[in-house]
Amino acid sequence: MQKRDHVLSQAATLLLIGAHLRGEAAAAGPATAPSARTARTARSAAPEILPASDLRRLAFPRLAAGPTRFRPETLQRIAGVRFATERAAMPSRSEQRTASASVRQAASAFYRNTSHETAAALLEVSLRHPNELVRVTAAASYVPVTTDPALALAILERGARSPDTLTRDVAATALGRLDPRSPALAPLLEPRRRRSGRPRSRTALLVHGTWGRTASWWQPPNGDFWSYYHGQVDATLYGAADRFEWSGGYSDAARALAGNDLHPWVDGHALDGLDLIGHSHGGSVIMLANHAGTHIGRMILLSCPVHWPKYTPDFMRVARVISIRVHMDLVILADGGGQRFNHPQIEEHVLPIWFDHSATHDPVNWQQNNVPVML
Amino acid sequence: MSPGQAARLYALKALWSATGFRAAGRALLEALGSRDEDLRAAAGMLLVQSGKRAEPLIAEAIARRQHLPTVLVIAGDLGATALEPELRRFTHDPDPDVARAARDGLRILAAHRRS
Repeated sequence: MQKRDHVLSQAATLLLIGAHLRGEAAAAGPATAPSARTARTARSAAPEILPASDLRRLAFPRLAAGPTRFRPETLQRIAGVRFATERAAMPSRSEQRTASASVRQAASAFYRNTSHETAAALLEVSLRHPNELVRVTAAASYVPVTTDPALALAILERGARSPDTLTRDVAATALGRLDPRSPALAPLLEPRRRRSGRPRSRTALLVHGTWGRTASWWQPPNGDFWSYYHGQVDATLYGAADRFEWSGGYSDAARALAGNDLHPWVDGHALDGLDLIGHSHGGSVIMLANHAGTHIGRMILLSCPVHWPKYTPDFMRVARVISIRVHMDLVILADGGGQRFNHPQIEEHVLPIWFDHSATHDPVNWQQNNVPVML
Repeated sequence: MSPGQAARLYALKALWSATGFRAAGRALLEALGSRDEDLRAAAGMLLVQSGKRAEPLIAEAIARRQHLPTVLVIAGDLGATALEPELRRFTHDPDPDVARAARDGLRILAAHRRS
């Protein structure tokens, strides 16, 4: 723990050297004494970039900004060391040993005689430090003060792939500022995959239809269709107590509310890409959630009345749409909806059954008509 | 639901719409208590499609606790704001299905108001 603290303290010091040499430290503080009003405003609005209390705790000496760039050999001479001409991002063991001793000397020299030269020399020897975070922070501060930034950039590029989060973050931040086109940043700049971009969830969910909330067929774990589907078709069918349900109301308003509820339900359960199976206007609710942003693997519509274009799948957010129904569905007739979809991206399957709206959630009909093969 | 039962429902709806013959509407309401899921669904749809005409029947059913919880949701579907106090009362019903349906009915009513 103490070793880690020591490393962090060294890293902070090296970063502060860079900030001072770049003039950022001066910019962070007031150049002239502010008026009382200005000071009040500044206190309330401006962030403290380098808090004075932190600088005091690190016993960081005053260091003015400077535009000077140094040759590496000059800095090594100031530090009293000589490293190989070949400059690799990962220092050799002998370089690390040399650097460990040299860093202590260079740090002493910096605190004893604070100047651009001693500060830059400390950075130069720290580039071979055994600890990667120290190397990375030295490199971050070193690039603007050297005539040969290749080694420092190589250290930062390697650091951007470090397994240590802090090292990686410091390296990436520095690279972003010093060499924004570095290929090492590309993997970090890839957009983070949204939930919806993940591979399709293997979960499935049943959504009941109009007046169906208290019906038993869809309820886990004993509803007949739920049990059949879970046992014979898809064992991932959602069955926890917080399964989705809606009012089952027969109005656009009721379905709109349900669609707006289903989308966050899927999102909240991290199930984007799941299969959704809806009976009757449960299918309309699914389509509304689909348009609200829910990504769906298979949208399975059972006896779903067709109200085109009010309720349609969002084909950009669904892998397959399968509609299963009966001939001349009498409930759909009462509903006033269409009996069939007429869209090339919707697979229609009409079972050899007449009139019976609830036949599509009857396990016996699924078995007799081999419905699982249609999915 | 057989085609004959469906035909009967449509006939009741047509009669009720054309003449306002209340017994026809009441027969639709009674079908909400059928053991046949499809008959219940179709009857409920035809009631809601009747709009304002169905409100007094639904109010009666709520007062008599008939066909709960379905009629509470139907009150919302109809946009029956006059039944809002009744719905509020039912949100405290000891039957959780009834209380939940009353809350749903109120939510649907509010959505109607917004649209």
